[in-house]
Amino acid sequence: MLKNPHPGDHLLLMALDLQLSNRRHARVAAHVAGCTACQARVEHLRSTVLESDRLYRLVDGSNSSTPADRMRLERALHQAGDAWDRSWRARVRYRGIATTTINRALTASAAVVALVWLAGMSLSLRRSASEPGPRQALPVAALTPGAVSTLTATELCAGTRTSRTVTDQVRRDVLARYGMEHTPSDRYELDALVTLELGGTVEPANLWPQPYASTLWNAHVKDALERLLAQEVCEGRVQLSQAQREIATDWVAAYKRRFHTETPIPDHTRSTEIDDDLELESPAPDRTIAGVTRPLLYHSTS
Amino acid sequence: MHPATISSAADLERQIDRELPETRAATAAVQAEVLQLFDASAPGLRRYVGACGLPRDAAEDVVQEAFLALFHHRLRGGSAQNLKGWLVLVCYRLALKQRTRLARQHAREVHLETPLREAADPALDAESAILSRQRHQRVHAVLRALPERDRQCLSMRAEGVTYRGIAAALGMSLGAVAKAIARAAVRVTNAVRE
Repeated sequence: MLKNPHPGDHLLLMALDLQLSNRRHARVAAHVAGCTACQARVEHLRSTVLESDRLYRLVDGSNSSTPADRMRLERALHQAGDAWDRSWRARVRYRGIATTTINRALTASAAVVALVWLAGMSLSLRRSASEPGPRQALPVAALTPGAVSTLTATELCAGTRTSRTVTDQVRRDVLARYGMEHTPSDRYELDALVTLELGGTVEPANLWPQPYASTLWNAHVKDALERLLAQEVCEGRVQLSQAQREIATDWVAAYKRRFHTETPIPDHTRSTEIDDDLELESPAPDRTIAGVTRPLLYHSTS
Repeated sequence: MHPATISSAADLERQIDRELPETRAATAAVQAEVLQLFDASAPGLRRYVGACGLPRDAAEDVVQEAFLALFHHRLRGGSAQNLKGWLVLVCYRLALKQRTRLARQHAREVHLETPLREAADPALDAESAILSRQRHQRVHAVLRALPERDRQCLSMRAEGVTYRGIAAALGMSLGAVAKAIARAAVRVTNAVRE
């Protein structure tokens, strides 16, 4: 069956009332313009709808407003207006109070956060002064100022060393001072701040628990600096006292200066085959330390 | 009380005092706008609500309530476009509620029992008045006989509601609205011509 090419009455009516989209309106208008039958339908529809409108409006002549109707609305609007103004005041007050409350709550929260932060910082500072954790790259100056023997560079380069053995008592003392009695031993190396190759000793003043991997500047990096300084001392490029001072004062700064880098060289952050660790000994009688020890008074790490 | 609270509350009251005249002026402007629209549109709305089957008093209640709703609509920043159509749709919903309420009260459908009022043009002579009244009676009868939806579509359109507005209010498609209007218009005009 062929589709009816003429638009239905409803489409014509919608077009008359301008209720179609522009595109559809144009399509219907184009059809009507070329179709006499549809033009007649449009005219009929137009007159019918206009007549029905007129009849509808004639239905009841008593629809006009009376003064009483208008006054009734005026009164109602007056009351509603007053209520609206009152509610506006209440809303503004509520918003103001809510804003003040929120501001106060925010201020109080900020104060609490600040206090917590300050307390945390204070605790952290106290811990770093008395009970430092294992994440530090540098020892605490008050706990590990550094200590060296009286061995000369020549003796050191010839292979003479002070004892490498740390007694259990010394080890426990050092760990207790750093608050690391319960830290697993595989997480740190008990390190001589001034390495034995540079004349350091295994006295508590020269020992500290240095973390292996928990910091960028770990024990392996310091080992690399120690090897370099020992080599340069033996080659006569650096005075022994200077090397001792550099490593005891701020070994990280010394590393940056000696290796011309701001960060550790990747190869230095890993363990090497060279074993220069101290020897730990379980309860044993104190061994004699070769040479006479003296404190490093120039240690200034803070 | 904390000094800061007193200061904040005082600031708030000063802000309210500063802004109150402006708010009152805005409220008065909306009141004037609503009253102006009432003067222009209330008769049509009463007619529409009457065509929904409500008696004059109930229709007036609906119209008054619709204008109050318009007042709040405008105060809250509602759109000012096609307010007449907006009022018709509000009247439609309110009329449905009112009709249901009255139907419960009287335990019967009000619009079936309440005759649409007729009005003869006072300027006509006695014979013309009779003819006019007869014609009105016929229109009333046809309008009453129309299916509810067709009558709603016809009267809403006559009061200025867009097809889309009618479709949304009555839950119909645009095409169905147009068909209902065309159908109702033909029936009303044919009945009067007979």
